[in-house]
Amino acid sequence: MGVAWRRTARFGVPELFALAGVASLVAARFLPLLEAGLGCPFRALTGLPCASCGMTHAFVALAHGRVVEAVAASPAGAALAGSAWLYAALDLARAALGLPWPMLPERAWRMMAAAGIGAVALNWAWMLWSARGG
Amino acid sequence: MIARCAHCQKTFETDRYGVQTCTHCGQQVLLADPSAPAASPPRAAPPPAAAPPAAPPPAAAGAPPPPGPARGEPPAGAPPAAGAGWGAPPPGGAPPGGWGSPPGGVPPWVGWGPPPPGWGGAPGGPLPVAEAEAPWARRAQLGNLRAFFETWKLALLQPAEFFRAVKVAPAGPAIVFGVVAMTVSSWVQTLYGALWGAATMGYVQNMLDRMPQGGQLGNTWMRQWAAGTSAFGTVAQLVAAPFLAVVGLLLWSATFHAFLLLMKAAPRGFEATLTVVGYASGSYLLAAAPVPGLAGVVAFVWFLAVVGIGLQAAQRTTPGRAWSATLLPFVLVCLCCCGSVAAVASAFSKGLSGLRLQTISSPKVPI
Repeated sequence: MGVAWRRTARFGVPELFALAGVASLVAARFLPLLEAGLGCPFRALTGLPCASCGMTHAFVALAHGRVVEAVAASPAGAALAGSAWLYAALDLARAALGLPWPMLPERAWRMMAAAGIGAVALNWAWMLWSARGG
Repeated sequence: MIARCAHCQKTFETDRYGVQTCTHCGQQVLLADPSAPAASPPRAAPPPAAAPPAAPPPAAAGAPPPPGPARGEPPAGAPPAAGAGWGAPPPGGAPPGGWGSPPGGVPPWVGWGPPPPGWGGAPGGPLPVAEAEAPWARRAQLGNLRAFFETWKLALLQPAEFFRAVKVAPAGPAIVFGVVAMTVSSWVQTLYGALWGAATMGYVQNMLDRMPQGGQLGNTWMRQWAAGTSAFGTVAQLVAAPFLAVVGLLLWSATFHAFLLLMKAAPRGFEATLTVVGYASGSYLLAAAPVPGLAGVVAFVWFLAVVGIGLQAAQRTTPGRAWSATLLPFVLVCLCCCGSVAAVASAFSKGLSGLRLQTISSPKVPI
């Protein structure tokens, strides 16, 4: 699976995702998100956690360096937060230094999409199992 | 000499060639120099950074203006054509599809509506279509409001034609369009939510009381957020709206694109998906209508419909794949919900049957 490297514009869609990652880190680290009392409408309606339940806790815990707590709150949330912040750091550094962007083949993107959807599904199954006292 | 504007189709007098402004509609038109070489570059030539609007060849002074729309010439109301059949190509490269008629073929149709009758195309095959910028991408020339509403109308009322012909790269204009629409909608909802806070608060409280675990949300910042009664909540919503719009746009696009990738239905890449989701987000303006609940549902259903049609057109894929990518996330969520509810119901019924057995055995207890 070959990776081609191509020079791109300094600010494009990849950098927009990177900035969203930085914004999530700043919000999780400095805003009182857990004190805000954000509730899940799905949970309120059905009594069951939704696919993204626990993600806010995971982001906040990881932003404060509490890895175990983050994984316990939502394994996929912890993984998403970690990978988003790592991606943001790498991509913003790449853009600042003017380095080329790796052009992955479509098969690699397809595998990543399948892995992402599978991870969300597994995470939800785990959350539901945990909610039933498993 | 007399020239005809490609935008308003009216004629005006000029004494030079090159880019100039139409005296009637104010659009920029390009008068190609007839003495310039008229070679047609190959189709695969790279597109210019911004395709200049096409203009008809200048007529000699006193000569009658060229006839109306014909093969190779878009009708009035079409967007600035990427050189669809208007005279010689300007220097500096060719637009996608090339200038003028391809050798032995049909010129690409550039327009937001269906091609006019008799346009042609390969027998039995799809009509050739060149890409054009959305009116929103030309807001510097059209003005922000006009460009926004023209794009809004095209994206929401003619999504198939619009997304088949709109340029998908760069996706910046589509992102800005979506963020503006979602932000304005959110601001309007926030402001009238604050105005009608007391009434909404009663409604929200009533809904929460009916939910199984609605008490969780009973006395929280979320209730105040929903009702808009807290000054802090109102300001927070106003400030957070554009940021949440950007994040929402990216997440929706990533979700749809992940499913498109799984179905091998994303030949034009992520920017095409992002463009569709960006322009389709214009439907969120409908959610700003002061009809609590219903307006939001209508806006969301319209959004999904435009995304389904738009992905098919922009990604050049089949309706089945486009609609699957649009609806599968929701179908999967529903299936998971049904599975979870069934599991909980099963556990609940087991608990009930245990309780009944205990009740039946209770007569052994002496009264």
